[in-house]
Amino acid sequence: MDSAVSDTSPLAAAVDLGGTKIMAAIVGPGHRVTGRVKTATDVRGGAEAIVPQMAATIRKAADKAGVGLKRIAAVGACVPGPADPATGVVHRAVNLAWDHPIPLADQLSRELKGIPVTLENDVNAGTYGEFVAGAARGMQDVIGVFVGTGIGGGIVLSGELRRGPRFIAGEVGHTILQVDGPLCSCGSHGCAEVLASRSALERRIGERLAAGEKSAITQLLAKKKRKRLTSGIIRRAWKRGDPLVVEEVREMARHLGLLTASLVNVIDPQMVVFGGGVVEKMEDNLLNLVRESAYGNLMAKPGFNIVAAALGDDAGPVGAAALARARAGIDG
Amino acid sequence: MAESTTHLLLGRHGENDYVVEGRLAAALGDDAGPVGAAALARARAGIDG
Repeated sequence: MDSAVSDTSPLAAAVDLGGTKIMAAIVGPGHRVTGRVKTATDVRGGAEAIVPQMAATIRKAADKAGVGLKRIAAVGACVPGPADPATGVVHRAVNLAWDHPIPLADQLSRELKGIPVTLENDVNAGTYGEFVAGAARGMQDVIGVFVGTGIGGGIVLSGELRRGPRFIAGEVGHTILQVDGPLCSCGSHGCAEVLASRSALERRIGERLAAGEKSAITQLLAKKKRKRLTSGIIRRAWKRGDPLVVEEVREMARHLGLLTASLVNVIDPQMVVFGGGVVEKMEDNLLNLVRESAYGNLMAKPGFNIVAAALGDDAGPVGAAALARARAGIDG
Repeated sequence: MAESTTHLLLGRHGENDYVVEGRLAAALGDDAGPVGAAALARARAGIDG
């Protein structure tokens, strides 16, 4: 049995529901994570079919950690949409094709023989995880920015997650940075997400390659037998000094810096934590450019840190488990 | 300051229309700052009301 769960204290399970995969893990005292399991999400049957998949993934995680479900006192569930932890309702989840409210916490709790389930938006949970156990540990006012297919975010104010009355607080990706910019999936133009996400980077590089420009990307994709641009390939091309990639990454960072400056001017946090695959791969190569852009566009002098997230894929589960433990009155 | 209550259609965002019912303008005018500062001062001094 892993040392994270070897004593007899009550444990939390966490499950991170995504559009393509479900991750579950057991989280012990001190936010120690063990028994990580990933399964593919089958979205075809809607919520009714996904709830048993989530429960099965949690059971697998408990088995892998060497603990029975009886040791699990609370479950934290990360969901890709606005969620109300008080009612346990997910209001919608575009990636799962859920367009109406679903009482997911009750459904999952029933599937797990009554273990209480606490829902949280996945990016909120990730930010909270970084706040309780990751890069922002010890801070009180934190903004999380997670750069991936889109750009998500979370806000911790005075040590509390800010959700808002409609549970959409922290949607930093839809901050408009460029009036009349490219059309975003939300219907607005020039959102951070359509200018500075990994998808935006991929789109712009693709457009330039299609227009006949040369880049090491073409070779790297062929070598890796991939059709889509990954964060790893972007990093390799950057390290080679590929002019097209360097230019586009700089543009991405410039926009992320503008986003950061706008958020900091409103919230005045102690720290802005950047996460997501492209940040993990590029590390300070990207964040130094983000800092340069952010610090150059602040209303006041810099007095906050821009740092990389520390927990990777564990951030959401750690945050969701911490929230579930607190709600269930479990220490640790 | 004039106070008007109305339904204001802010726009379409995806499938949702956001409709806000309320005042179109702040209600206190130049009093807003003093009212806020006094409320904070009362709270800090432990004075009810």
